[in-house]
Amino acid sequence: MSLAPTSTPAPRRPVSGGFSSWLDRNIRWVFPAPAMIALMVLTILPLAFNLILSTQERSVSDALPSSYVGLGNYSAALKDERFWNSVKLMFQFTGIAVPLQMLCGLGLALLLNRTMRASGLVRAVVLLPMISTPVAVALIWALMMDPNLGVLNYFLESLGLGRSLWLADSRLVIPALALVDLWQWTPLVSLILLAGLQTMPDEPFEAARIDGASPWQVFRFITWPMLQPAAFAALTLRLIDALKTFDIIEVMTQGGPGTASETLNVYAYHTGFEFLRVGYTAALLTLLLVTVAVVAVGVNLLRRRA
Amino acid sequence: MHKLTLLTLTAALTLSSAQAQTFKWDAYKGTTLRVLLNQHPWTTAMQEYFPEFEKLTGIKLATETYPEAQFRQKVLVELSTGGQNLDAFMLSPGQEGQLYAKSGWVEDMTGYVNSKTLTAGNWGFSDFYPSVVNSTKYAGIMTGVPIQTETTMLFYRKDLFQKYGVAVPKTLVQLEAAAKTLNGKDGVAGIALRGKGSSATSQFAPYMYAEGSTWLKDGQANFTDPKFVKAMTYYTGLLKNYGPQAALTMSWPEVTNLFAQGKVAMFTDASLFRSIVDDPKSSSVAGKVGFAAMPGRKPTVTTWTLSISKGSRNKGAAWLFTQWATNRENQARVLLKDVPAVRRSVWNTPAFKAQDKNPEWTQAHLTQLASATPLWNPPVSQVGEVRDALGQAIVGILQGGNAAELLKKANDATNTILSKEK
Amino acid sequence: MTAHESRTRAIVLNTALTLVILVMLFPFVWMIMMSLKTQVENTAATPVWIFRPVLENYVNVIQRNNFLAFTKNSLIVAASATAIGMLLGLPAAYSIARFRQRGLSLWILISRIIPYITFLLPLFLVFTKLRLIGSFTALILSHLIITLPMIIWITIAFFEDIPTDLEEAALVDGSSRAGAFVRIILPLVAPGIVTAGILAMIFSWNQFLFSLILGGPGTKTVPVAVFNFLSYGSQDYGAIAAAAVLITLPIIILSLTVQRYIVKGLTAGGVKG
Repeated sequence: MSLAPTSTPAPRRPVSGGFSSWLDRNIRWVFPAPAMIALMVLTILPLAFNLILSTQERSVSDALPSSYVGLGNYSAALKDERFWNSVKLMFQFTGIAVPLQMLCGLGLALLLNRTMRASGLVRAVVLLPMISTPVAVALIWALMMDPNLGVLNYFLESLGLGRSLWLADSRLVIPALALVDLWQWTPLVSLILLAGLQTMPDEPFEAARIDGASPWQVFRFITWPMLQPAAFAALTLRLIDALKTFDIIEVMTQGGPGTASETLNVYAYHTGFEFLRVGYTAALLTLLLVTVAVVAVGVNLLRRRA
Repeated sequence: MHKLTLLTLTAALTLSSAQAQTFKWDAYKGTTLRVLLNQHPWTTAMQEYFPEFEKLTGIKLATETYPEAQFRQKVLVELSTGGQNLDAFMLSPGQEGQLYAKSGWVEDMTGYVNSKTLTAGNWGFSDFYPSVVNSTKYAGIMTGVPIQTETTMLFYRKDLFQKYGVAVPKTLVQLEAAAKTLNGKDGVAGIALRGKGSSATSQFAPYMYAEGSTWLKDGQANFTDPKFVKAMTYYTGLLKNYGPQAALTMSWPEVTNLFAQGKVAMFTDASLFRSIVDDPKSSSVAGKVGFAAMPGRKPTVTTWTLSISKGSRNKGAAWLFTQWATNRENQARVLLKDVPAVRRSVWNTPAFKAQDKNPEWTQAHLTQLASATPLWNPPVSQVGEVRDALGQAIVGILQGGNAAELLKKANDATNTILSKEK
Repeated sequence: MTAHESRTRAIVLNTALTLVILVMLFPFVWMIMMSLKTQVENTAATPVWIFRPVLENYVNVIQRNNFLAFTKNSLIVAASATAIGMLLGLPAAYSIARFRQRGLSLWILISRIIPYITFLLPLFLVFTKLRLIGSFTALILSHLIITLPMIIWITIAFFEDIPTDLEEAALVDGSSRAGAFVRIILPLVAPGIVTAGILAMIFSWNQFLFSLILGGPGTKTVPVAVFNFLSYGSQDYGAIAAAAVLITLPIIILSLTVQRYIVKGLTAGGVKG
């Protein structure tokens, strides 16, 4: 990293004033330094503190003693059924939401690219789900999914399908939450892909048209290869964020029914702020961070190979 | 000698009456008091009178009200971080009493309620039901002053019971029979009970006691006791066979709401919910509601108190608020809104007698009060965690899991939690 | 290509797009409808589609819940976190773009990967020790974790677009680098600053977790207030919907007016917590 004031090239010409010439000479570390120090204090230090906490058996109440336990919290987590359940649910949620988002996002991007040239109003509408406050989004979907009074069951019945329990059904709750995520984040995928589509050169398409290629062939051999970088960017973003999803789950189900939608960060939130098991929570959070990091790095390795 | 006694007595009487008159309600004028309240019928009933207190004392009340789960979490987090910003708050000792007392987070109210200087002479502590006062004591500390008390009872639809010739159940066997008969009639579910994880544990308690079991035995979890398993199988069986859809997402707001919408024939829960289901403003079945003692006859009693944070910088003012909120006048007021008061005297006021058109409720509540057990929760410090472990089992069983297996798991989890307590 | 598309094809595509947009909009439409209905209409067995709108729910939410105070808190936090983020972030972004400081940009990227909840417990304990829980300082600092990397990440792309000749011309004219940055570069990246600023404000406004735990009575933000309101409302559907409308409204208005910027920012940076 270029934080150190090394081999800064001399200024092109002498500048008057001691400070401003000093600043010019050292600009490449003076400019980023405040932001980097702030980030260090706000992110790296808490993470280090978290790591220390994770080696302690600690609760905030004096009624419960605290002590150093080494890796005890981690081994406890690995033996904790609820932990494994939460990991499984986290991946289930991500595994349902993200692939569907990629597909729907691609479809929507192609649609937007072909029609209306994405007029302002359409784009604004597409934006709405992802910039709306997640708490509000969660509340509205929870009302729509109410088993007794929700409008979604009304639609299901109108279509001749049976009513669903939605969030109250422990087998359906994860797909139902993924549906909300799908609604909320498909637009982001489609906007990223649309940006990719709109920067494509016209020539290959012209050539394909002259050669009489079918639309599918055009997509398969011209569009898709050129779209891949954008697609990978969207995929990475969505994978990371889907694994981290918190607001929607906590507001809509608090991890229930039972633990049927208690993903890892929801579980950690409960152990931390409901039961105040500080050390164990810190260990869970470290494991969450490691998982997200591994996935992020993994996707990028895949991208290099592709 | 006789004269002397008389003299002292007179002096004492004059003194105390003088004190009553000169009790300085405005001693903390200008203070702002931060009070955390549960979104509870008591709060709803009292809130409109808070300005009276502000006028009387010159103290400004900064109250915050949260739904129960968040309320508990909020108080816990604030107390555990010193509680300096928190003055008074609602507490249900059966849930947090032991933890808060042992952690030294709450003021011991004993010194306040008996003080001649801190307390207005006509306040009358002896008027509180002794059993209710006792239910606030943990680790030798009186964790708060009771504001209301609930016993578990049966709420039923009189019209449906009459229409289908069902007698009011007194035993668990009769309860199940009634649920079976009424289930599906006129579009109602037979019975609604809490099924939402940890919130269900407290309402399961009377069923557990009725089957002759207890939470703990010799300091260890007792969930594998055959009687405990039987009670749990019965409770979850009622819900599975005669309960509403989505029972496992239901805590008291959902249960009372369902009953108020006329979609269920009966439910058992805290007596205080008369204020919701028998009020025409919130209930379509108001006036048709019957009340009866808890079938199985092993009710629990839950007390809510006002408590003072140990870290508070305004303890004097907080005590004034607590004192005022629990005086006779205010206890009479909440009772008129069907919140079960904790002072004996107010149940006999003409105003309440005149309003109490269906004395079934009063009768059931008061007769149960003396015998009801305050142990609606396992008597441990980490109540939340234990409730959660047991709640997991309840949800699992409602989803068709094996009761014995799931309870064994909850039992082990609870013993692990207990082993960490001092 | 478009010229050869048949008319029917265009119709099919436009219909499909309309459908998609309807699906996307429906929750908002439903939310607004619920917020204007009475409790009886909201709990009717079959949804009521035609009704006489009432404002009662809004009155309830605003009066009973002190909504304006929470809005003010949210704005204070969002504006401060964004302003500080700009102050620290713009020079950093410029330097990263101008000197191709890959290492630093990687660092920014990493800080975006970390789940916010990982910071929550340590921050909570530290702020408790410092007696900062419930203060604006605590909220603004925690929101800086969101705004700062976002601002840097988005503006890097804009700084990169500025040709170096302009800057060099200024240097030749005797300006200092820092002076050129302030007088010449910053005005040129104004669109980038607007984009980053709006998005930082939105994501700070939307932030729930930090505000929930680190906030206090005097600093409660809108999302937390709405969440507190929630189970109250397991009965009061109209009020929940009204609260949801009130919290989303500023964002909807903002996005309609400056959507061009937002699209650019979102796709350039790719943001969310």
